[in-house]
Amino acid sequence: MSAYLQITRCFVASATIAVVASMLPLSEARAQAAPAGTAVLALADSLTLGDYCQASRDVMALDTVRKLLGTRVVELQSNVDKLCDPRVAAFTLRTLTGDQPAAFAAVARRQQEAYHEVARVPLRDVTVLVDRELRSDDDMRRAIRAASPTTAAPFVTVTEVARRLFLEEAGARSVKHLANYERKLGPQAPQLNGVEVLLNYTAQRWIPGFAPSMKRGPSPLEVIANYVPGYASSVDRKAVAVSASEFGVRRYLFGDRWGKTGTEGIIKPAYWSLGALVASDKNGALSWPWDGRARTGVFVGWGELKVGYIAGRKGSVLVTRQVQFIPYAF
Amino acid sequence: MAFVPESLNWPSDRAVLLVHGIGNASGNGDAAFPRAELEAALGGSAADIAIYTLNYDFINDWAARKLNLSAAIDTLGRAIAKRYNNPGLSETLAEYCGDVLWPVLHQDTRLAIREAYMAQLDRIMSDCIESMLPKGLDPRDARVSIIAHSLGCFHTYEALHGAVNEPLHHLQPFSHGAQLESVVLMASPVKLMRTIAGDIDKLVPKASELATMNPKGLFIPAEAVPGKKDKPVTRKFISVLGTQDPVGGHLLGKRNAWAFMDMDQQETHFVAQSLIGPDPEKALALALNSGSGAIGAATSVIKDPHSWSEYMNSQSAMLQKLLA
Repeated sequence: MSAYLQITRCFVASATIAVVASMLPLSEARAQAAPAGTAVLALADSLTLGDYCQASRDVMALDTVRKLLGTRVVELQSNVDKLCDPRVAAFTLRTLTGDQPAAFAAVARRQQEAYHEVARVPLRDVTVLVDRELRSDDDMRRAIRAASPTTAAPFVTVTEVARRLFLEEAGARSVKHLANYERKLGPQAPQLNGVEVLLNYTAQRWIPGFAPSMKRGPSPLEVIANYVPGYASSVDRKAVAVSASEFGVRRYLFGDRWGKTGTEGIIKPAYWSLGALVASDKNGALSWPWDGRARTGVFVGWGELKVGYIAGRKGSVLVTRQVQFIPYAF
Repeated sequence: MAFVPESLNWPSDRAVLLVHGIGNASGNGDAAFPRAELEAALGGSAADIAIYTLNYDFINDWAARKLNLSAAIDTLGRAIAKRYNNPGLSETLAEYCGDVLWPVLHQDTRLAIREAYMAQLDRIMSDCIESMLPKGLDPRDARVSIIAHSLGCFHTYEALHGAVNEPLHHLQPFSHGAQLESVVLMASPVKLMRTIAGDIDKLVPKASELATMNPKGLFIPAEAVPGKKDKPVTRKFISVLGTQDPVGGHLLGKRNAWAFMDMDQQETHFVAQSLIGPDPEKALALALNSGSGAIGAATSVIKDPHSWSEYMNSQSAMLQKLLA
């Protein structure tokens, strides 16, 4: 199907939607408003880089546009030509975001390799350049519309579909970062005590890897410095409570695969933890870990479940569940 | 629950984003936003405008649960009390403004809120394309405005700088054609935050990443355009301040230069406010304690000078002119 046929098809669909929309009273249209939908975004799967190139070339051929661009037309032209390269022209706009490099169903492996070769200078940079030169400037936009509305229309469609695609990508990135923040700070995340708040504040400022970043979102790391009165162990086949202090690091597992709840959360939890454990040889739910002969061991946590081991202690294996017994304290 | 940016089908070519202040949305949900006041100001045009709301209180709630914030708020409170130097009001002001300022001390919270803000702006621009293109309209002719109140002004200021300086968000005014029509900040604490955070700058994590603390001062961000004038993030930047509202930089009718936001190209509208009774200090303390700026606070006998509803009502003519 030719580029123009596809663009024309888009406009026929657009016009139909517009006519239907205009038949509705405003209040009714408003009631049916949310959400906006993804019809335009879907066009990214049918419009091609070749369509983008052709629409841009047509606009750049207009005298008014050439006059406004001046000498910049040469650089713009050579960049736009990259999209017309036969090795990439058949790829859909969707490929610009790198989500689906092989979105074009009939693409051969050889063509994909060619795409990556041509796209060594990212092709999306070309679209950004076209946007800057031909779409962002108010005077230029007005000039294009005035010079030839029929040339302007397909160009507006193809550039806005590409922009819609990039906005979708950017929004999804922010939402993903926010989901990671939720995993670390949200209702299911372990609460910090006063000491941990201070230690994490310090670590975020001075230890690499602990601070959040605008580009990557939250750090997956968190310092643990906790008094846990609720470890359980077994001494002479009797269950006993053990109090211990933990010093270590918690690592949050980001991504959709992790952070499950319920039974699934046992296999795919939101975090794991690792560190040193200090416990007295005296048992008891609220005993001081350094009381008597204090011993040191290790603990490993997988989600809320934690297991500790202290060699040489009666009841050397300790088990507990992640919980804050007294809010903001321990 | 995962954050989902609000999506709306635009009735025409205009949209407004309402961004609330501290604590407004936790209990009140959608009622936290003065939508009725805005619609009343817009009259018949209201039906033509897509009105979005950004609720980020759930992130504040995360932080409140995860951390003990009282220490951070106390630290800020002490710095605020020192600045105001008013024995009669210091305690009330410290408590009131401390609630507004604490995000500067917690980097995760402020960045998480910024992500929510950016995701919402990306969604608004996407909705614009999805709504306007099928109608045969050019999405670049769209008019998007933001109206923020109180702490929402700080997050807006930071988000606007992020939009200009970080191309990844695809919201630059020139390169991505995402220039806003107008930004209206009501009772902006941005200068207050800059000053107080500056007083305790050693405690502020990654202060260099805060636009509010930029050594160059406060300014409307703009993207450089080769061979032309820089393109600002918004065509109009309006600040609305009450003469009795300490968050906006006034105390008992007197302007405090250290808390009053005054940027180049900013248009400032003052709202004349008065405190009833023979003792203005007592009246202000009572007014601030009456509602903490929440919606509906202004309906009490003593009017809260920080009330968003009242700001919105006082500016109905300006809003009508700007948005309708």
